[in-house]
Amino acid sequence: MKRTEFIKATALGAFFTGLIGRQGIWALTRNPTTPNPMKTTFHAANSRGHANHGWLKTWHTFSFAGYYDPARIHFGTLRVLNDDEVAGGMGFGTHPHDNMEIITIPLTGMLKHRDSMGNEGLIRAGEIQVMSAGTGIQHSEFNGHASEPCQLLQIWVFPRQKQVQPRYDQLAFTPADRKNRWQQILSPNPDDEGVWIHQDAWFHLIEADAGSQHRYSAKKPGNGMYFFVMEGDAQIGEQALQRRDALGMTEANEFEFTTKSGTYALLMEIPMQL
Amino acid sequence: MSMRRILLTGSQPEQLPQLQRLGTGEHRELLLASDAPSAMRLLQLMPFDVLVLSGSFGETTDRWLMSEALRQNPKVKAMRRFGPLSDFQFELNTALFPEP
Repeated sequence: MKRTEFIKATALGAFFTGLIGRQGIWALTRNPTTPNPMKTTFHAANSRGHANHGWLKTWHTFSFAGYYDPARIHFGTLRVLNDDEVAGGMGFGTHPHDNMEIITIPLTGMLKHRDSMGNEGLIRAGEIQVMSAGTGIQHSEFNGHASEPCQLLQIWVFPRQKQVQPRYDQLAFTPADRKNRWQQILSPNPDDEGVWIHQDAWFHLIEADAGSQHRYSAKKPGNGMYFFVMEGDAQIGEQALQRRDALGMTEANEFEFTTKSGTYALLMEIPMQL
Repeated sequence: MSMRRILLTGSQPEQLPQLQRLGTGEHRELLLASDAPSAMRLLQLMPFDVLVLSGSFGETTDRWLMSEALRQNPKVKAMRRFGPLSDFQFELNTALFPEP
């Protein structure tokens, strides 16, 4: 299915199923650090779709599986942000993907991965895994520990180009390199820091001390920025964010955040045009 | 009678209201997935009594959906119905409530 058809189909699907969507909050705010107006979309942690399947506890920022909200299909090319907790030894059996950039960030524990390209191994907290599904891959992902839970973020980004050669990559990062500064973990460039994907997207992690202030400038004009607080708190303009809250920002080339108690955050800069 | 769980996948939006009507009723738990990843995730998470593909997500994905439904529940009634649905109510009822 074409991407535009998919969006149309899923929106109609929600209408027909009669699900009542939670509306994202759109507000026109002014970034105190720049003269340009910035549009923001606030996604509160408790507004995410949640499901508890026993072995899997999951929170979906965007519509996925049994959660559907027509107002929460995607943010630009960011299609999926799943916050999963997988019980020990459990996971997802072999299943296919195509034409999607799939990024997995374990937050605690480790994930066991195996795919149709012959890759097999563990991804631990502090590492990032990327798969360009392209023409099609099959993979499985299980908690690598028999009894301890594994927490992870799984992120899907629409690629800028379809039917690319499938590829897999995995990289470890040094926590010290994100202490009070942006640590680039993903970019469009194979030669740049972090892993790379088939999209003009840049991801950064930051661990900011209590009382600190940080500014981010977009790598590409016109891109949107999606700031996800993994731990702690943050303040962007008038918007206060707590653990697992997120703020999408458009029509701005930079933003600034402050934190009272300290924060561990993921910033995803992505194209807004599908 | 125990609750029967149905997964309807609708890649053709115009079919969704029909599928919705067909699937509703007492003793039926209806889940509707309008995109392939959602259908795949739901099938991985729980067994279904009936799976209806009302449009193709591509041969590989369709085949996976059918096989996963079968793996989760060997007695699943899995169907691909891409065309008109005029006779489908009867067929679905038969699948849901087979003769003893």
